[in-house]
Amino acid sequence: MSEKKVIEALIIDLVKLLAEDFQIDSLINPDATTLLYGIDGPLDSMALVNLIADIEDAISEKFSVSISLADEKAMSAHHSPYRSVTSLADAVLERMPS
Amino acid sequence: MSWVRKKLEAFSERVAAHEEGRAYSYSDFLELINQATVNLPSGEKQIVEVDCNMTLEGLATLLAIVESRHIALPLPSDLPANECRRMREVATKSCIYEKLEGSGLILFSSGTSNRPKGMLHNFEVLIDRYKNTSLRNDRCLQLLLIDHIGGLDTAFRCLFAGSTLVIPDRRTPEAVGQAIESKKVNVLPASPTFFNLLLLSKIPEKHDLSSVQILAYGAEPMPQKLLKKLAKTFPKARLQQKFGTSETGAIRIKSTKDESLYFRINDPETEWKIIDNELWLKTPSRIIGYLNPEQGKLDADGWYATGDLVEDDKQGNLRITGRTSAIINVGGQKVNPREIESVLIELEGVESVRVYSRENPITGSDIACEIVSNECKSLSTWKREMRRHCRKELSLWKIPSSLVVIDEIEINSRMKRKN
Repeated sequence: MSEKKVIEALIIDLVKLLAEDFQIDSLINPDATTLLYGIDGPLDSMALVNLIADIEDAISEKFSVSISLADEKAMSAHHSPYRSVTSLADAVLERMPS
Repeated sequence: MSWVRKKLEAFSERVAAHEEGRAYSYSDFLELINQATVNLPSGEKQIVEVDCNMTLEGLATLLAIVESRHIALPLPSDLPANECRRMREVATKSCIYEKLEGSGLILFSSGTSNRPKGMLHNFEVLIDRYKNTSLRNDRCLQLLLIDHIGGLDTAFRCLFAGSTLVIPDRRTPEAVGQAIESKKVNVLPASPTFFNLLLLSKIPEKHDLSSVQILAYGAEPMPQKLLKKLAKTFPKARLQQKFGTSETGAIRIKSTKDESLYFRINDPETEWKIIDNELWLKTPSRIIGYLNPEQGKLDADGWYATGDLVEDDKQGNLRITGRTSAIINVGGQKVNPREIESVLIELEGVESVRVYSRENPITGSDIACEIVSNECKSLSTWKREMRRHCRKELSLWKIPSSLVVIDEIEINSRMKRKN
């Protein structure tokens, strides 16, 4: 499996758990193309903050690296990294040491 | 309260509000007040709960309560049952109502203990502050609910000026963008966090927001950088700061310049002073008191210490620089960490807990917690158990987004817990 697929799978698992914990029905069965935040995305800002923290924690547990997904780069990006599973996976990979 | 009806009757066929696909005239609004009056208890003064989810109906009920001299307790119906129960308990057990002449309004904010902090306004005095509002033709977006002093201020300013309230279908950037475009909203009051989300979600590129003439911000400190971005995105709009507290009601202020965070208190009924960098206010609409007197003390001579730290440029212009307390402000909503700690400590296996805020570029701050436990569980297990436990007791936004398990909670040199 490519690195991106690994990260996407990890994010999909986390989205599922978040959807259960916060009872977000539309996100119970996410896939890589699922929209998360912004136009047609079901997350509100608080759920997004939770998901970002979950991803950062999971990356730290699994790969022993510390990344920050809510940084100036993400906030000012032309295309928001938070809009979908796949865009979040790209943002994670950009921030991982090669 | 005859002035209220007179004003509303004079506006008769003007549009009072757009809500859930329907336009309500001021005559319709008066009819809603009449219907609400019929449903109120007759006889002795009572606490009446008001559902805040339908804004115009909620406002009609509030005005009916003022006329009938009851006490209004606005509660959003989506609050967790336990939080509602705690609020009702605080409200019904209070002895403060003997000090109330006329109608009352109960508002809640975050307390210093684990109980919600309730306060009692003389509702007529609060409403009277809007008596001389002059006629305007605004179409103003109503983002906050009416259980909040900011939400009430937006609604009363608008309705007593004969303007139109535009209530979005949902309180999301997308729904707000749609409402602005379709109803040609010209006044947009929101917290800096919400404005930030509006920009992050690219709403100004997706919707025609050219009708907006006034961006009114308040409830939390505005980052200078965001203010500049807003000025650039809305070049024709004026940027106005708003200020008020649950304890004093909203006060009239005027931003010195569009891109300045300094403002002047421009309110003939309000006195102000600064003690140790903290802003103190004296307004006619100050609360009568706290429902639980242990939760707060008010100065006998009418002054209120706002807890807001300000910088004074010595020419009467003020700028908010922070809070005196450790209250956590998540996107304009405030919570005392102690309230969350009191819930977390009940989670099985938790021996000690500390809740604190962290900077977060999306919501200004977010809530983090440290727990001490002897149980060996993975971080993700802890998080899930924590969320499931908190969900029963707290609003979702109060649930910590970050959790760490540590060996012990740090204390400072005075043997107090580090904040």
